[in-house]
Amino acid sequence: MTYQQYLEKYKLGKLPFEEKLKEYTKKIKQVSESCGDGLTFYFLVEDGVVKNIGFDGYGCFLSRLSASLLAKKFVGKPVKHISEFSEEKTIKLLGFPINFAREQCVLMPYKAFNSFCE
Amino acid sequence: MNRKDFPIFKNNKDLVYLDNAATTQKPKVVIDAMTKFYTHDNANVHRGFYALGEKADTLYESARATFADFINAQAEEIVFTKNATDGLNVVAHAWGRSRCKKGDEIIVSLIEHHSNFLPWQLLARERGIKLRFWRPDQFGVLHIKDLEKLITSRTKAICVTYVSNVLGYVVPVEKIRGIIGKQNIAFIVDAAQAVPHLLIDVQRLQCDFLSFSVHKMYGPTGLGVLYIKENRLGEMKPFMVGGGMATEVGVSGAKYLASSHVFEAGTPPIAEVVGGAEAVRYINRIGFSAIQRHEHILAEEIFNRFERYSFIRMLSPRECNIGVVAFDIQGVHPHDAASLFAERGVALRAGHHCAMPLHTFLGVQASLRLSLGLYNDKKDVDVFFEALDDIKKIFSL
Repeated sequence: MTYQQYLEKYKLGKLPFEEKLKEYTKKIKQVSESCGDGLTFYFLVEDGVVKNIGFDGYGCFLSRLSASLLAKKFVGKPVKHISEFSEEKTIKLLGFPINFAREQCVLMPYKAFNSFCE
Repeated sequence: MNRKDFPIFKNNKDLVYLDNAATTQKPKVVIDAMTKFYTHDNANVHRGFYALGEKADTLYESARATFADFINAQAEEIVFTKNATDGLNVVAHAWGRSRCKKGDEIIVSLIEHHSNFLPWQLLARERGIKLRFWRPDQFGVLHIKDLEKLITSRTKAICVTYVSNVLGYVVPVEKIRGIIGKQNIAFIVDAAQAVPHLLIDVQRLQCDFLSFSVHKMYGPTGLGVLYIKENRLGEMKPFMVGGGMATEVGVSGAKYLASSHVFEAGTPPIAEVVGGAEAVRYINRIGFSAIQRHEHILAEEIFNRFERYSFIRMLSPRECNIGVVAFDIQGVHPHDAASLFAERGVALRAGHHCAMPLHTFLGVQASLRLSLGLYNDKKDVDVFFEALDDIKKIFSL
């Protein structure tokens, strides 16, 4: 899907995984240094496996889409899969080109996932 | 108007450039003046005892006079800086550190660009100075009556922008000296957004310091102008030291220039100064009345057409607007909207525009801002609204 197709699909609505989890084992607030937007991520982990991920907060569509796609990718997977991920893979996960100025939007959620593994 | 003077539009046929508050495009005469300097006249200024050195000196100093005339100042009151931010930092460091002490008060408006906010915040923290905030009304508009209430016997400086870089309205700065009266308060003006749109007259303003960037007035980047009123010069201490600003240097100490050149340590951006003076002449040839008339007609059309969109929250006031319009597409993040505008060839800006205190005050995280220059035309406005219609469709607004 292209950026515009994603926008047309979700319009002003919530994206998959865009909700605060009632049950979670770790919460990470991530703020973008470039614009000040911030998303909070909720991770539910049991026996080294990611059982669920949710997020909420204020962010642009690209940062929320990136968060949603990352959540979709890692729910049900061992935590160590997250630590093997990278910035390049996060940008590829989108599936459409973005300009350099907006890479920060896409990478903001990855930083939360990355710090989750630390 | 005069679009043909700007080569960028020949090389980017479909560019709809509405980001003039960030920086303006450069007319060919400015680019040519800088090229000519490098191809015919290049030498360092100060003490080049040869023909090229003298030529560079003459060009540099005559440019100072050109900028002085431009804002109705004396040449010796003009300091070349890197940009408006640099100039305001010079004032905070060179004047503020020498004249402000613990317990003093500095008034700063809440609509400032960070360039006229952070230098004072930093100085206040370092020196135990109290910052008092000139708050706007709920629409972000500053009123003189609110400033009057803030002035006390401890007030040392009033720092305010001439034009809001987000909301685009002209602050009634011309009334400020009148309410200061005879009290010794430094009146400091950030004219970065005013300089491409308004005829600035420091005599009429009666300000003590005024700073602007030349790249926002069709000149090159890397150059700013700081006006220092003659009688304030003696109150300042040099803070950036080095080449070209000392009269005597020994192992135990140094003596510095008594003139404003003391704030131009190191080799200045000479080609930019030459290009900047050409930008002044370019603006003067067109004239501010013609520029204002043209930009006002376009701004009025933009405000009128915006009224047809129920999902737009207009942030800029229409009154006293110089053609900088901030708005919010309700529900759509400004970054996403700016990307969609960009895909349709429209360059505008999204974010907090380096005015976070104002955005916090207005209760918005970020905004979209379109800003006009003298070369914008009706077609630019049409393309902008076509793009807005597309965005409306995408989000079913």
